[in-house]
Amino acid sequence: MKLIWSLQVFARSCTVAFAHERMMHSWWTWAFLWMGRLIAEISFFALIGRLIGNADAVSFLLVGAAMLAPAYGTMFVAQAVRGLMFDGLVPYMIAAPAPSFPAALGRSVHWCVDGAVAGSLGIVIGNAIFNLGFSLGQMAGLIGLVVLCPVVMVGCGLMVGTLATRLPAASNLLSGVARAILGLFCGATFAVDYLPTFVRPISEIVPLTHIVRTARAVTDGTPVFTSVMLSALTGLLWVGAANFSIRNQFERSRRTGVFS
Amino acid sequence: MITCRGLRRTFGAGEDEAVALDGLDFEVQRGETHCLLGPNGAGKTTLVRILSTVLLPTSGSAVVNGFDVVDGADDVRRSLRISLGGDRGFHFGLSVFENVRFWATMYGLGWREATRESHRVLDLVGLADQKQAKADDLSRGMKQRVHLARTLLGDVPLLLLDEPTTGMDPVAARSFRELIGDLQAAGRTILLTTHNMDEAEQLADRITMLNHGRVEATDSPTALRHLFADRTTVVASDVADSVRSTIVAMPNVLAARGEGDHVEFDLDGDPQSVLQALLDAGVVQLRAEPPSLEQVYLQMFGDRGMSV
Amino acid sequence: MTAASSSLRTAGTSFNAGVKRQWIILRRLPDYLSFIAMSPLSTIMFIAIVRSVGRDDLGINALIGVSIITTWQTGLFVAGDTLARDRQMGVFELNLAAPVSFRSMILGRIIVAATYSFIPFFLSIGVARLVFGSGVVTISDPASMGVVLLATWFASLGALLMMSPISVLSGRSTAIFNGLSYPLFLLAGIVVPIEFLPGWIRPFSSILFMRWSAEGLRNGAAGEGAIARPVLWLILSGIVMLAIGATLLQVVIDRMRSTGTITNA
Repeated sequence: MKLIWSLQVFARSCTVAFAHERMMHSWWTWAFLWMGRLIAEISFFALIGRLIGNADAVSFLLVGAAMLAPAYGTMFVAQAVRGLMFDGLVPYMIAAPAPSFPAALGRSVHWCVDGAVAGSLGIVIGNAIFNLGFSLGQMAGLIGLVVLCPVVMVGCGLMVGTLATRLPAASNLLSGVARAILGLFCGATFAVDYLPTFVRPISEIVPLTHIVRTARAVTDGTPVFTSVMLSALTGLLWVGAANFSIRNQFERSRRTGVFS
Repeated sequence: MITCRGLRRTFGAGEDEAVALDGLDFEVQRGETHCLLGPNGAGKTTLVRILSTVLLPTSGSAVVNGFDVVDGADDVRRSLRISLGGDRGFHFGLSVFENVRFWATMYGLGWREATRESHRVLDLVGLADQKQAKADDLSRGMKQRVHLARTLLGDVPLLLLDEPTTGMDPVAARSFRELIGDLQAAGRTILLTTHNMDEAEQLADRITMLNHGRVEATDSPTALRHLFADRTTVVASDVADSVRSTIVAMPNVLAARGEGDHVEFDLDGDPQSVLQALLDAGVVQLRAEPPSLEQVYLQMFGDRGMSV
Repeated sequence: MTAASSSLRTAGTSFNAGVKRQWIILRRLPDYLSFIAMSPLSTIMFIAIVRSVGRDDLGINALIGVSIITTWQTGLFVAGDTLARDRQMGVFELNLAAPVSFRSMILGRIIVAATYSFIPFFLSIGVARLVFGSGVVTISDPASMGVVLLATWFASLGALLMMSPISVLSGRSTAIFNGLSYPLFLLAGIVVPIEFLPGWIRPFSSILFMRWSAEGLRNGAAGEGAIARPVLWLILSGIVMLAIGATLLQVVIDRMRSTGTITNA
């Protein structure tokens, strides 16, 4: 019963997310400016591959940037969680018997969907423009990963979000730095092996690293099972941590009386 | 329905510590409409927040519907609805209907039931024509109605309403009072805070006067009006200005309000001499009555002025 | 006192007020450090992309590219967001009733934002040297680079002023500014020179000041002369954008004065 209730709360919360999207964008700013910007970012990286001068680099950077798009989206969750406080919703969420985690989760779903749409389009368009020669199976696999990416990354986003509630004036700063860390440490733009050894354990606990590794396996035609499982496992750990963190944040509000 | 014992809540620590509730003992009976009155900073909102589990008490206990607000918070939450009033507390960008339906789901109503119930409560608070309006576009008074609609979702025994009519126009405020009457008839327990004395007098079975986080008095409105037994209000009609001045100059007259058709004199002690003086001056339409709730309130807190 | 000197004094006072307000906002909100805080990480990422595949020679392209990216994003975010916040709070309507020159005030604010936005530029160069060694950034002709940088500052001032009416008028300015990033970076060839773009796109690149900035900075770093054309284009585009910005702002002011509000725009 509780699972069904949680799903219903999540679904209602998704309507909030899309309402926010409608406030932020008209259809044309969404289609041309926002999607255009995200797809241009993916193409920008793919073009660096062309500057480097080999086809593998183009494919490597295009796929990495396509996976980054939805992962970046999850980092905007910080602003969404912060918005809960800003809009004075926290007292009502505490006083309601429903679990607050799915409510917080759904409120930021539009960022994840946008990232996944842009990542998928980036793969399709990039494959055509740069003549990458992905098979249909490979394309399906890569798009599947682009969709899976925000699911396994949303826990990270929510963790950044709860951190942002402690530092409300720095929510943009926190999500920005988190995005930069993802771009740097997860193998999306250059191989993880190039990182200093002491940094690599950090990469391994971020689900995106395993999603990118799986994507590389899809393009290389090697087995994907282990890396997919690792992305799910690390994603689950982050979701658990985020759930705990949000409860903890609400309990903190109850103690301190600070709700916004 | 509500029992608080030695309830204390402080904010900050050390020299900055502010005491919002200072060992409060307080009760609300099942089915009762109970009104909290008191100046700004008296602790009304803090009490409402603690009872709704939004805030933890620093010490003491609060039991709501048989459940402790700390140990049984989940059960408490299933027993009540809360309205904190004000401009915030909505999902901005969402329509009024979507906002209410969101909370219907948060309160555990089923998927379809949430839709049905949202329509019902919005019709009830007179927002039938505003369902598709954006919550952020509404006036303060309209937002108050949405707050109220949210508290009416489902069938819970206790409603906590923090200043529910602030910003409402007089017509809406009257409708609100009628609505509360219906809820009373349906056996709901209602705890509301207000600064509107008429509202408190009309709605409340009992009123608690709070000051500096402590209970100054708890009783029915009628009993509270008799609290200051040595005070009387003389209400007189057709009082000439010269007569008014003469009465005001009498030693036991504390204050006078209004002029001409309707003048109220607040008296300390026996009203006989003032009544006689008015009769002697030809004023025949007059009566002596216990002080109004507003006068009781002013008597209790009037010395605070603008301080909080 | 003549009318001219009086309006000059008003413009000066308004400009100062704009500078002060912008500076106060920048100091108070750590959010405006976002792109500055991101710039070291982005710098490492961009340079690592090319060095990890053995193309150390492209390090300077990556560095100049990322510097322009963070500078532009900082400027746009700082100028756009602060103006958008004031718009939400109704500050601009208050200016209608005050004896201020709106354009001078906005210019004061934009100058602070444009100058502030160059912090990540220098930060990127410092971080690149620190992490990858001094070899990654060999600047053969620092004087030329300095000239291009100054011209870039002037052009970005014009660009930000040109964007400012959007912040003042539109509630969706954040979305619009967000869109004015990677499509422009791609088109302006800030990392990958425009020779890699299809031929039909290149004329569009030439109207973007970032294209001339990247080209000038790359030439300056390589010590291969040829900065005169980029610098000229930067100054010219700066003048044109300043003129467009000033004109558009006047249109906004006229509208504000006739309607008394901007919030429904």
